Amino acid sequence: MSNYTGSEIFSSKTKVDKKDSKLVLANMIWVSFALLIGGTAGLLQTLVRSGQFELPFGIGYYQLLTLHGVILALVMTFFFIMGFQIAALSRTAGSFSTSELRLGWTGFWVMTAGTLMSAAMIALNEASVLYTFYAPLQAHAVHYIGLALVIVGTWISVAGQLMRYFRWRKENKGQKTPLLSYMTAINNVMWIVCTIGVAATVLFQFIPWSLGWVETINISLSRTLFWYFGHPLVYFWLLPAYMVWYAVIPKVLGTKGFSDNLARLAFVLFLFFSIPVGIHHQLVDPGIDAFWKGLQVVLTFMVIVPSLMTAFSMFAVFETYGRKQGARGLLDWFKKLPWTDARFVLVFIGMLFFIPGGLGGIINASGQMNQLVHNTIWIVGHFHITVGAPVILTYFAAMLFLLPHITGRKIDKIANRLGLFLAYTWALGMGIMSLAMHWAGLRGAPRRSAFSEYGGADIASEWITYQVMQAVGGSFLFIAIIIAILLFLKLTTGPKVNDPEEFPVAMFMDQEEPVVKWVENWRLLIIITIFLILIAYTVPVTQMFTENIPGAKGFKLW
Amino acid sequence: MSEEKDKIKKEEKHNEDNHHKLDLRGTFMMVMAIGGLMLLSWFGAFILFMERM
Amino acid sequence: MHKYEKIWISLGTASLAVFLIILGISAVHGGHTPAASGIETINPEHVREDARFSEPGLKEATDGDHDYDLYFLASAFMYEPGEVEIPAGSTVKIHVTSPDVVHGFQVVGTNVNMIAEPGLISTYEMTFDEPGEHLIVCNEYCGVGHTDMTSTLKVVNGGIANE
Repeated sequence: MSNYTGSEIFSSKTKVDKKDSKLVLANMIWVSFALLIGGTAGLLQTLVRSGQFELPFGIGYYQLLTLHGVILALVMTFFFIMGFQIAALSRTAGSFSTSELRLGWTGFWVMTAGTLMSAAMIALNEASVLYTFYAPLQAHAVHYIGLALVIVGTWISVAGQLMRYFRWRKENKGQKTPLLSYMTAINNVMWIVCTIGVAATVLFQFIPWSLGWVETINISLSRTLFWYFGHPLVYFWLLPAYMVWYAVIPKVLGTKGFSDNLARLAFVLFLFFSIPVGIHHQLVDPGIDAFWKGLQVVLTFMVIVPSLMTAFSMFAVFETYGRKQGARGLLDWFKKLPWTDARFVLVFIGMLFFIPGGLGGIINASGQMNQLVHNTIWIVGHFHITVGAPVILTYFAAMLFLLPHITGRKIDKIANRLGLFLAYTWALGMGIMSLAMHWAGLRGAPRRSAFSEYGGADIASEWITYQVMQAVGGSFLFIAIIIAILLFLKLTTGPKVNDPEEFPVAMFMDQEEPVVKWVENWRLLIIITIFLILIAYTVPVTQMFTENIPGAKGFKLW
Repeated sequence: MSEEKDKIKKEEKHNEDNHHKLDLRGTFMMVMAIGGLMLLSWFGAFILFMERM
Repeated sequence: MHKYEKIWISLGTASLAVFLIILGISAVHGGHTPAASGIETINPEHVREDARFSEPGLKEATDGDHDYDLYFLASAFMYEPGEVEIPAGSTVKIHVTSPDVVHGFQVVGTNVNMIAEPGLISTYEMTFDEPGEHLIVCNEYCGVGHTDMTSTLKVVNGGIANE
């Protein structure tokens, strides 16, 4: 079973191992739960900001916002990524060994413990510091320890996944590693390198400071270490979605992927360029010289290139498929796409959202132009049409086949229809909400702010009109989340079948071509990754130690 | 199984030969449209930035 | 690689390069480097004893090529000054710092948008040509009173510039 090759990987009958499936399911249960809680918080936020609603039971707006960020941006995504990657490895490299599986479960429980600790502190209003936890706002130490445990939990799970990947390589020397397995390894290596930053700031800065062992904290350093992690974090969310786009969707269509080698190259570029770019979140921060901001802007632009490649590959797959189905004209291949298959429609709508999402991202990262939009609600609009649409809709599509696959069921007509409703409702809600956010942001409306008339300023009343639109969008999104939860219940209950739903894994047009050797030379990849990080960060971080920036005492202002 | 593999191989070879001959006019048009939008949106933002300077 | 893909990647990358060149020229020759760049420290616990921030507001510049220095103190949950008048056409160097937590400093409708951190002074130079009123808001979460933090920047004809 552990020696998967060729036709076995691509057979529609090959399954995720039963024991591995249980671990995958455990992770996915957390995803559903986190989605429901985080989505409810999101709905309430948009209602508060419309000015028509006040929170009951003394719940604070920023308490809710902290919950929304932590539970969706960290908890939900992490559990999904762990679960999906374990499934992808088990499916394409073969079942996990006892020790690998034990690491997966240990990671799961450590993440669970950490999540519950942080959640308790947020519920007690001891941690209303938002998910970025900028110092010197000081939360309860248990909150920081909980967040650290969530990260440590992912490390443990990732260790098991990497062991599975390298075991395959050892057992199949000289062979091309299965693409999905390779992609999980890239994402995991990127994750280990980038989480060192957030672990360092939490362990050496926030925990001693919140426990009162030290009086002050170096703010510039904590922000820089956070964003050293914070930008690769968004690629950690995105790459599992790209795995589905590259390696699953062509099989859903019943065709082949465009190029295996180009897909690997795109992932290598993500490993190199997603980390040394975090300062583009700090373009208007004091304490960093303009030169180093500029350098990281240039590096940020490099990470756009693999997404340009991805756009081409996706359209190429769709067009090739459509032409095989008999399309002849310039664009009539669109009509041949499977518009009634929810797996495809969810992903396709996600891809459409990623077009304005990517274009907006280029503007945000454009150095001084960041001042147009920095910390305005435009930014919130931006990440809701990146992580909040392409990424999450692809996660939904993955759960659509994964949940019945691991529980021995099939996607039936009702489930497929729920999936389609989910896609369209989400598109409608997110379309309205994100458009309103982008426009209001360009007019200056700030993010991370409760309802306010700003002393009756004219411009603020203009913002409120857009905030009402956001509440309309938010309401549709909440309906979509209810549909998603019903869908997940439908997929995991009901009668089991003998031939469960397929975990589709696509072949590529260049499947038989030899793999480019250096893309799996991990020593080389890690050396280049670290080299780029050292170029981008050595001087700015050193200056934060040598320039005698006074430390800051903690404040609890909520 | 090996027969199946051979068949796959043959098919692969066939596809590889055609990789460059794929008709991707529509794809080209779509990515060029994205490129156009990229230029429009970026210069739009840049002009707004200069106006507010 | 398919011929069309080569064209697409080349043109795409070239456009990105053009964007970067424009940004670089605007930064170096137009003086539009990102706001708050550089490292200028101040002790956050003694901000009010500092001559510049003891009475924040508009002061005539004594050096540099700008006309005025505008000092702003951003604290939980207010800006000092709560209102400021700037003569139209003058070039102003804005200096902002915080004695407590991180705040935002955004002059709505302009490119003035930067983070204020305790321990550091954020600066940005800007010429205000058009008379009018701009709302100043805090756009970084700082606590329960976050949205109460406002000030007004009025660009007026005449004023001290013409005295």
